[in-house]
Amino acid sequence: MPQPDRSLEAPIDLSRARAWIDAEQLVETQPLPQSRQANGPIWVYLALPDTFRTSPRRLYVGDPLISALPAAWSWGPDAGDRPGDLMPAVRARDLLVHYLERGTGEPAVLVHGNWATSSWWEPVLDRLPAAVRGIAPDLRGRGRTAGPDNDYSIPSLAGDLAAFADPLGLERFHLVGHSLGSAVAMELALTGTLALQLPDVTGGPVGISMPPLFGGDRVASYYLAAAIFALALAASLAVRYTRAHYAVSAIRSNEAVAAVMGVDVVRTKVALFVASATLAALAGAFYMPFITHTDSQDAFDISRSVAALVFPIFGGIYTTAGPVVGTLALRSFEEYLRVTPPWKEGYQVMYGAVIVIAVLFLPRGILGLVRRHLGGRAAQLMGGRRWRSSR
Amino acid sequence: MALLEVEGLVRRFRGLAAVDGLSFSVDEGRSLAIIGPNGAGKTTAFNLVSGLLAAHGGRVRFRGSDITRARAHARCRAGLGRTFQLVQPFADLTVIENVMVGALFGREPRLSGSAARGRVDRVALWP
Repeated sequence: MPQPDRSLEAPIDLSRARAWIDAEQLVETQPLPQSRQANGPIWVYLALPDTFRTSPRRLYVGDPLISALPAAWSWGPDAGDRPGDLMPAVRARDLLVHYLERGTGEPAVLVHGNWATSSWWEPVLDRLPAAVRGIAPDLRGRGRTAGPDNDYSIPSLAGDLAAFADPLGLERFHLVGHSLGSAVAMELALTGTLALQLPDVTGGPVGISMPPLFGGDRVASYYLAAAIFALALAASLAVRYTRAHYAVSAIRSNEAVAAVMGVDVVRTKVALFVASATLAALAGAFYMPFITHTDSQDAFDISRSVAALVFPIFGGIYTTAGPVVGTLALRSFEEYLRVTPPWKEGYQVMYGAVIVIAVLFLPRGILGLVRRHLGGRAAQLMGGRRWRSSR
Repeated sequence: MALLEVEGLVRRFRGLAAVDGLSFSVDEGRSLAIIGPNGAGKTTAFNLVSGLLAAHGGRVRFRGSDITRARAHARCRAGLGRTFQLVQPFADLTVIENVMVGALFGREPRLSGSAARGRVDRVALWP
């Protein structure tokens, strides 16, 4: 890993910054000195969860940490003598996270903002109230913590933080964030909860590893994936060309009418749910040893749920080929954008735009488009039924 | 014995008793009309008899057997049909498929597509 460019770490001149605290009472009782209300890009935002295992709470006057805050405002441009090589570090995931630590007692993790380092918190650390143990890590790629070439997303930073807390023995701690750090803190408070509460199931912040399938034989994996894919296609066709098609379509169209026409609604729905869940479980059981590692941040990523909806809609819902076409098209497109200038990191914007346009103008997906231009026959060959309009 | 017998049927929606002690019986080959102003509970009564709503009291007997607890699809298969105030075709399905649903899940589980087409022809619904 390349060490980040140290020259970029010019200390932030807080004397020109406008401090902003998310606690009105605090601002009222401790008005900022005039000289520090000058315009500036820095916001001080503090998310201070009670214990981040439960719900976050806002700052309140008299909070032991608040008494340390004015120190941050009065901190000058001189970062002073940093502890340098003496900084302790712990391994968190594949990073060596360096941190500053001061005091003993109730732990408080102080998360610095964008373009800052743990050093930003030094004035706070120097003035901590008694019985507070302040811990300020250098986030990935900042200060003395090396980072990867990419992926500085907030979920990744929050994952680092969760992993960082583990070797330090921090189970319950206050979380204080400045600027970007507050976003990281909130992300951790919201999504890290599950990982930390069920370490036996989720592997905690470290996640779960698994040996690769077939001892890493990718060809064997390929055939297994193909078999699962074939099973899914077979299941879809089985629903399409049996009585199940009529039952499902009738229920989708009008549940009450379907029931009084003799369709066992509950039984049909349960059967469908079980069949769908079985296929999803098969795919998941294959995917886990294929990628060999996952953690809560990854496994509960909302984009997985979104993808499960977007791909079929894009390809064409209520067809067999639609989800296949949609997945191939969108995944390929996504990967293409990811490696192609000028999109690269911004590919999600383009990706999102394509999906919005598709939903607006292709309500029947790609298959609907095929049907319109090549006729129903072509679409039928692709496995879709002729689309019937009710109008 | 009456074909359909309804005895003291009750259905409440929270505090409101939409149907409260409804009793009637219909003999085979006869027609019976239920009339009443808006909100009188006609639709609720139909939903109770067809099984879309569960009764809070009373009994429904069809061909002599008690179907009060039977679910809607079972009543349909026993021979109890219903229609709705507004015609409710399955808009996503073709005319033939609409007919197929009724047959496959009713009393002709082996009806083929071409046979269904014959039925549609008979009532001149085919364009």
